[in-house]
Amino acid sequence: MTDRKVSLSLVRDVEGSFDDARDEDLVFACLRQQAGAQAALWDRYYPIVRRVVCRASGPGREVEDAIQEIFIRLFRKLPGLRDPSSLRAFVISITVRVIKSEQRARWIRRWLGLSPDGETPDCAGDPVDLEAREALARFYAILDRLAPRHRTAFVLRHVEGLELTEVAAALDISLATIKRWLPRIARRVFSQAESDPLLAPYLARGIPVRELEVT
Amino acid sequence: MNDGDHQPSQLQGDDPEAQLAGLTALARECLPPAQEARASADAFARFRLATGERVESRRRARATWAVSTGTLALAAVGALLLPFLRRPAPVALSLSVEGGALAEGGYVRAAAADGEPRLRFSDGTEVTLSRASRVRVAETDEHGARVLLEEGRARAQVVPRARSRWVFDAGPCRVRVTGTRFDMHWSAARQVLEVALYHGSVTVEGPPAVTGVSMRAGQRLVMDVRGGAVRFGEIEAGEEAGEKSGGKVGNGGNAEWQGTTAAPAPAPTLTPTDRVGEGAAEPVEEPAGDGPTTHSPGRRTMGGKSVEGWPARVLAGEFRGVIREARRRGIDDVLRRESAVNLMALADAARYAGGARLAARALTQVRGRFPDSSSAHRAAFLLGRLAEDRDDDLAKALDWYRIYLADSDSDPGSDAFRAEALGRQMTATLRLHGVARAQPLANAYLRRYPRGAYAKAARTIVSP
Repeated sequence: MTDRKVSLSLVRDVEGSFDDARDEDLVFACLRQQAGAQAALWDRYYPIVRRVVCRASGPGREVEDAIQEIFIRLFRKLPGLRDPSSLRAFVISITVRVIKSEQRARWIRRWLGLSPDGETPDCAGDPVDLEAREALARFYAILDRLAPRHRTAFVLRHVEGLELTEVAAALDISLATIKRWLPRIARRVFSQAESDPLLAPYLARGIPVRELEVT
Repeated sequence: MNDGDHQPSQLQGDDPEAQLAGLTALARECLPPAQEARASADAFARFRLATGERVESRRRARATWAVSTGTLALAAVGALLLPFLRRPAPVALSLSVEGGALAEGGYVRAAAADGEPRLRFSDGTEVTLSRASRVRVAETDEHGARVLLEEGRARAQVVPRARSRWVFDAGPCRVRVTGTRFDMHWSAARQVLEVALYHGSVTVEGPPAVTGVSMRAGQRLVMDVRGGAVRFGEIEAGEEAGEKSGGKVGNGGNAEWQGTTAAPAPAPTLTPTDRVGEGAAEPVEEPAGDGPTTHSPGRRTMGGKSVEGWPARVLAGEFRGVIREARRRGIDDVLRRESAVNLMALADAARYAGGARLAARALTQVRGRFPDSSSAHRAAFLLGRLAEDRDDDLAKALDWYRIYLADSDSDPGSDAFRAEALGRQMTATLRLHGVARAQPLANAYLRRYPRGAYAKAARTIVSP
């Protein structure tokens, strides 16, 4: 309780635009139900939430419902955030929880045979290379075979590029555990990708990925 | 290096984590799909609606009325009611059937007299059906409708509206539409969907392309569910006009893709850009003895439509048949004598069937024999792709991309691959010569395609 008082005493009232407001000021403004604060928080975190959800879910998934669920939980739990400066980690952890529950539901539907993947494919985005689309679908089919926690860990680390500490915090596991998990998961993904002729060319390009990353 | 410094997805020896770099980069490249700039604001508006935020603000406004002046109260009421006054309650589109009737289950029944049933929706959208088509209107709402084409052919002219949502299902395939004009044909027996897009854009989904493929105006798509293939071709000039003059979508006698014109269908000028699993694993460089015995490419059918010529046969998926015929006649002879269109079709067939060497020979021949043609222009780009993707010969690929782009500069009307050529030129230059040489290309790309598929890579190159 004392901690919370201290942290709240440090925040500033935000006048006008929230564009340059610190996370803690934004949280405070939301708690005070200041006009435009929720919209500003949405604008700040919607891109990362959408990106993580899309990348964790895979291509062709409907993500808007999941995003809404994440923000509903976020705004509901905001008053309980002990350290408003850690808003980013808070958002990611809620995002991961929603993703995991969605993936678990998909797993269950798939195992029960209700549908091949539990979802109806969503409208595709940009018209990218068809081979790349197919490769992406196959890559995510491999990830679909992982347990939801392992899949999420892999995506957060290797696709989203989060730090190990961030991944561990988001999954609520220790740093040592995530260090043990990731190489094992990667080996499993690699061995399955290696046996797929369409994916194999993506495995050994020998090119630093940072140089080739495209939108 | 501690873990905090570790760069994920960075190639490092035989480390599986590092060797997955290409795939994880692909995921970053493709996901999430590009979005409009206002998407965040729109999504927030939907969120507020969904969570009853409007109800909350209305409640707070009511509390304010109790202590505010009459003027403020009126203003608050006005502000509160304005959105509702402006936007009427959503009403599902209504539907009438001309030349037929809507039967139980939403099935469209053609009238006894001649003529084709036409669905007229209240937003102006029209769907014309061939008489033998089996179509059901599964649902309608204020944004559009879901139409099930169980068999036969339909021509749709969807009126573009904000937030419209039109879906045409055909077997396991789905065509998503906003505002556009297109023909579609579904053969349940052959499990083949064909879409000819005249205007606008659509996304087609199906088992061979579960994440969907986008079509642009002027393209024809054939999705072979059983064969697991998606192929693109171009609509012949005047094809739509010809059919429109007939005012019909087909006689529909056997529910196949049949035009109303009596003349045999033109051989489409094939412009395939990509493929999805047409059995490319088996190489075809070695000669094959069996094949059609006719000299001239025989008459074939595509969706029941009689077609001739290699381009049409390639579009119909007969890659190996075309290659076999070329080998039977003698490749050298074919390369010397055939037209540019047929050589391009042979190159496409070879590319699709995994015969890169034959494809390169055909494309080179087109460049040599028809140097000023649009086929030669396209051949330059495809030769670049072959050099890059199949031979990993970046220097050669760069030469071809330069030639293609130079041709595009002199003929801006035929630069269908310009964006991809620029992007590929940029990344190949980066790999071959480094960042400094790639930067001018990245700047050029960004100036022209700021939201293109290679835009992020270009920005990274510009500001490493």
